[in-house]
Amino acid sequence: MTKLLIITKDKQIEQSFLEAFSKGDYELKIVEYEENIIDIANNFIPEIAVIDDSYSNTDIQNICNKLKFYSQANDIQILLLTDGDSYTQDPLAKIDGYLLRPINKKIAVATINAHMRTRNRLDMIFNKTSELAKSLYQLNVMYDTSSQLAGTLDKTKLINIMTEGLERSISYSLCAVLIFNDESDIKLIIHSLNPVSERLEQALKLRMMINYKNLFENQKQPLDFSINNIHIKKQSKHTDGIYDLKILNYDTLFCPINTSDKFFGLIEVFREDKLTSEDFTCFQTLVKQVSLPLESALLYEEITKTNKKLEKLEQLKSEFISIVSHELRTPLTAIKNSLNIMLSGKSGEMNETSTKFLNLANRNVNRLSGIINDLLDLSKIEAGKMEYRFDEFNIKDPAEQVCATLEGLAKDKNISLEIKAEDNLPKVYGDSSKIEQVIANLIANAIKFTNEDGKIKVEIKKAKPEEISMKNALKGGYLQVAVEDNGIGIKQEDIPKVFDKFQQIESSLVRKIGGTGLGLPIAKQLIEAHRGMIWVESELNHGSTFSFIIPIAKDINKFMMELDKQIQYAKYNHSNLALIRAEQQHTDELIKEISQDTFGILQKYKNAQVFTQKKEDKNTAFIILPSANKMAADIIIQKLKDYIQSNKNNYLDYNIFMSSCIYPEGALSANELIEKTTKEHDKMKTEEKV
Amino acid sequence: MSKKILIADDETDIVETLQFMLEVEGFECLTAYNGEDALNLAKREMPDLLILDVMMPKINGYKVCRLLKFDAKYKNIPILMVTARSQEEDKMIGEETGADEYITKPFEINDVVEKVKKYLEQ
Repeated sequence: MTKLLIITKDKQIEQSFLEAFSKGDYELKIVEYEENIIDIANNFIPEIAVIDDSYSNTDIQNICNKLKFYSQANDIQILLLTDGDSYTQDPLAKIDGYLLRPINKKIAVATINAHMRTRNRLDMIFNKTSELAKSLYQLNVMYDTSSQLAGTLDKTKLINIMTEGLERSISYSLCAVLIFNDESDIKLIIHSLNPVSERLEQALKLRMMINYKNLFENQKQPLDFSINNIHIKKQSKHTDGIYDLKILNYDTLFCPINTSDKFFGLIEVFREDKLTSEDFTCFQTLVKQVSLPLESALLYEEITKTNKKLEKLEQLKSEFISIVSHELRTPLTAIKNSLNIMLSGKSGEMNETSTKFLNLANRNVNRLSGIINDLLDLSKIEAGKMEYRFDEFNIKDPAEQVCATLEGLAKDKNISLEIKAEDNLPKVYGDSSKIEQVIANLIANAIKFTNEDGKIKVEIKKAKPEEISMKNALKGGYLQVAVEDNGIGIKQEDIPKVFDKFQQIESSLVRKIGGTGLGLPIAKQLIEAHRGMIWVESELNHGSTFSFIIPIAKDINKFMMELDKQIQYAKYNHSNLALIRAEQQHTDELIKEISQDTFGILQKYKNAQVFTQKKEDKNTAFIILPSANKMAADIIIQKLKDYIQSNKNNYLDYNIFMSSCIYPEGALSANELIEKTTKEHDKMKTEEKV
Repeated sequence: MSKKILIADDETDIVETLQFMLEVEGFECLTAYNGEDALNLAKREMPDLLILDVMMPKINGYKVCRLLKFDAKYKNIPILMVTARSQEEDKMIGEETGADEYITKPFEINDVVEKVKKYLEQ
């Protein structure tokens, strides 16, 4: 039905229109121009108006304004009835078209129809444009929300991001989210424009409960809970009113928050204005978007919980072993002492059989104490409590020491034991007592698993860099120690297991040869704490070669090892560590002064360590500050800079670059720490150049 | 005159075996079963050497050692500390005690006798 409003005082024209539009789907209203034209238009809501140009120009302008801008007739098309030559100019372009007098019925109908079509099209375009704009806005919100969602694994934050996104995209009056953790932790989160009355709270609780029951009608519910277990969390934007039960009559959207196999909760939004299908799509999409990260968050939570439990267990185990071994030591000492007193003959003569059995007892007591020592060592290493005192030393020293101690044991089996070392070997860096322990372990093992008249050779040489198959190998190079025997060897399939705890290839051997099966795992851990590597090559019945590498005492190695050690320490003690990098070009005097701490600034920071590196024209100093946080690092940097500034006459180029990185906030590994401080440097330098 | 050795350990069995072995070697032995007694006895009797266990009731061995070593009157008495390398002891390690030697449990009784002889023959 097309609604036409004809404004004329000419009866003839009125008649012509009535005749022309008598057929077809038209509704006509023919009026004269009056002040109340708006009321007429508001009652009738015409789609097209025809104005007779016999009215004055001012009147026509008035009618146009009233219809177009003040009436409820949206997008009305206005045609002017004119005689061709008395063509009225329309400076404000409020006239959409013209009808010519005298009225030709067919032309009139055609013109009206044409305008009607234009109007509908414009209508459609307008609607589409506003729809598009709205969709675009909602899409933007969704995009924004999803990128925010991706950034967190915190459940509460995820829910907040979702409700914020919903508020922006569908501007709800009230949003209620029921979220489950477990039976004892069910929350109803209410976000609303105005505060919520207590009655409404109760009603919302009940409503969510009913929604939930309906959702799982005749099915098993994921969680059986009662309304009393729901805790309410409220948040409202304004305070100028209060929401009461009336809000339940608002338009509403409802949706479960779930993935295909997990159920997290329910969400319902209320809005005073009508909600459209686009709103619903947007709502559903946003809720779906949050389900996946929620699932991840849940998994993450579980993993963190399990991890904490495992850590606690590991700690308990270490403590247990430590306490047990301590408690075992004292009685063991008493037994040992008594046996030794009897064996020494000082408590009276022993006969041959007694001596034999006392010796047997003594041997086993020794074995037991060896096991206890190993267990204690391992528990210390695993708890991060093993202390390493790194220093430069000659690797030949501990090797020769061990050979001297174990020579007797080798001689008993008529095994030859020799050491061969390359000439002019550099010193290595590490804890010599720990390295001695490793070598002793390897040689004692070799003696154990080599038959009478066998041969054991200890070889010390420079490790070839291309043969080091280790990730993150130190750049300063390594020495290699190899213990080779021609003993019983190891089966190929057993080789990967030899460094595992409590692995001794055949259990019968354990009884025959003795040992805890802890020697090699301990050796592995000790060598790894030195940034080294231990491995074995072996052929069954032909012998085995156990080799390990240990860093040469070069500045770069020492720095990396100390940094690693301090990071390990910080990790186990949950403390911080700061790495400061100071760099100076051309003159190395300043770096030397920093490394020797001529200023006395670092002295005040206990355990601070400085390492210098020279590379082409650059001089770098790394300062390790154990247990220091960002603030401490900044203070040191500032103090050093102040010192340099106040003595700048002494230096041609006093502008020294300093940057810092903090473990664990800034980086989690030695390499990352160094990388970050370097990056910071490069940034500073580019800024300097600009 | 035979040399006097003070053995302090709350484990009577350990004290007894050490005492036996050292007496056979011709030393005179005094015994204490806690840190406080050990300290008082040391001050009163001026022994020629002390064997001190670390973990003892009342005053721990490290403290007894420190109190004696920082007192000019007693600082020349050699002290052998006996440790079981327990966690509590680890926490105390690094503190300056001034002990002349550390012996780890379980020790070889003959080694201890040798060490005692070494200090007392000097």
